[in-house]
Amino acid sequence: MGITRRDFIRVGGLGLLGLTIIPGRIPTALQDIVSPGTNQQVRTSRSDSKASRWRFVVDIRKCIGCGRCVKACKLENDVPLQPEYNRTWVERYVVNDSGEVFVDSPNAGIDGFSADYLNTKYQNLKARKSFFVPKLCNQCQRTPCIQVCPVGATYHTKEGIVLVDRKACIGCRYCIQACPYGARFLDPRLKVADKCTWCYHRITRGLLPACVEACPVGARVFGDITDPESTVSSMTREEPTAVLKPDLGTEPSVDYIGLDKVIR
Amino acid sequence: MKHLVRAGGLLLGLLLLAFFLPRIVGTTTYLEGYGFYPRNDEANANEWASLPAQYAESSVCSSCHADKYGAWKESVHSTVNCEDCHSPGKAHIEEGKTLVADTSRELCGLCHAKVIGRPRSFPQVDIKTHGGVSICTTCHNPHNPSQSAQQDSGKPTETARPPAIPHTLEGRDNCLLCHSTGGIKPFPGDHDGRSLDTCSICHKSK
Repeated sequence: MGITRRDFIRVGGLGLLGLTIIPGRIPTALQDIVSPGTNQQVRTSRSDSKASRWRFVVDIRKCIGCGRCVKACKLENDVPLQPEYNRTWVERYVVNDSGEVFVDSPNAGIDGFSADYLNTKYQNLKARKSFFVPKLCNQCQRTPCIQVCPVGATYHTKEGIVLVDRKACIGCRYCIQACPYGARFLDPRLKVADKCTWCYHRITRGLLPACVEACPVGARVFGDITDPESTVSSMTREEPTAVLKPDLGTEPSVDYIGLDKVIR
Repeated sequence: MKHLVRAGGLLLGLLLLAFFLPRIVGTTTYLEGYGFYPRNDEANANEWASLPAQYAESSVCSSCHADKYGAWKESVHSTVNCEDCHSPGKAHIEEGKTLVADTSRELCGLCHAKVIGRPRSFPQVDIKTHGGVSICTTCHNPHNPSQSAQQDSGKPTETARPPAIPHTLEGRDNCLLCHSTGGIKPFPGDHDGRSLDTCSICHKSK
């Protein structure tokens, strides 16, 4: 007549015993099942959590919106010159007297913001504050884009940079949808996802990313965060920094100085 | 009944094993290279790393252009990379292709035109009126903006102004009478095509 109490306890007990004697990562795996998110190591075991050795600092207070970074990026990385394809871009935020926010990024900022027709709309505006915000891939340590890729075509390098394997990418655009920073686009020539690599071919040779090299005011700073003497180390240590959309838990590797609440 | 318990237990055990085994041995490390979509992240990362760089550093320029480099390095423009105005240097360095510096007013205006959004402390001018239609390098030395254009070395002048008018303007309404091509004291060649009303924008009487 069914399972006896004695049998139930015996089988259940053996099962529990079995769980406890399996060595290694079981306890952490269990912990993850009980409270997801508390145990990063297991949750993101598919190479999705890598603390970056490199760090990028963007100083919004210094940016003058000249767009040299956008141009350098396109020339350096053979990014399509049409304005809708960008690995990096510059946004301008203007807040007027009544708190309204105006944002523009003409041609991603590659031609600067000084052309007449770009500024006529602001002529009679009582601007309370205005500033430029350079954007690029945040090289998140917990990436939405790697998580959603159905074919595993995008991954973290050992240094924590997010790259796309162009041979594996099927161009499904999931990652473009997933990126909360809009950092990805579909390359119109290869029909694969493309994004900022922090100039992986330059930084692995000891050069600076092209945008950092091109910035005339030092608004973009790049360096090794593990080196306490590096500029990024001292900046993140001594300056008030913040990341974009920290509430999403993506753990970006780009720190911003002078971040304002109106910045999206 | 016992056979059902045994089968159920076996099934449960298998399910548990299927759930935990991949998490213990780490499938990601040894299964990634197989299956429908074989991956080799390291090989791909090396591919990315092997791409050619287009931008050199400014320090590379110093080995041939020491004079210009020296002036630039000491100036307030030392934060502006050579390649910002002269375009990427790879083809120039490797194949000797000539680099043409962009000397347009628009290029200088990218940084120095008065535009909403720019930090107030940054030097900006009204690009529509400042200096008429001349290209900026007529008056300003791009490698050392505190010097005038004519002065590529030596002490910096206080301002980078074009020469002041050494004579009175009384009775001399038409500058071009004396200063046009073929006049007593013709203006420089790069002033060709400028109209009378633009002279006083740059040249002030003493």
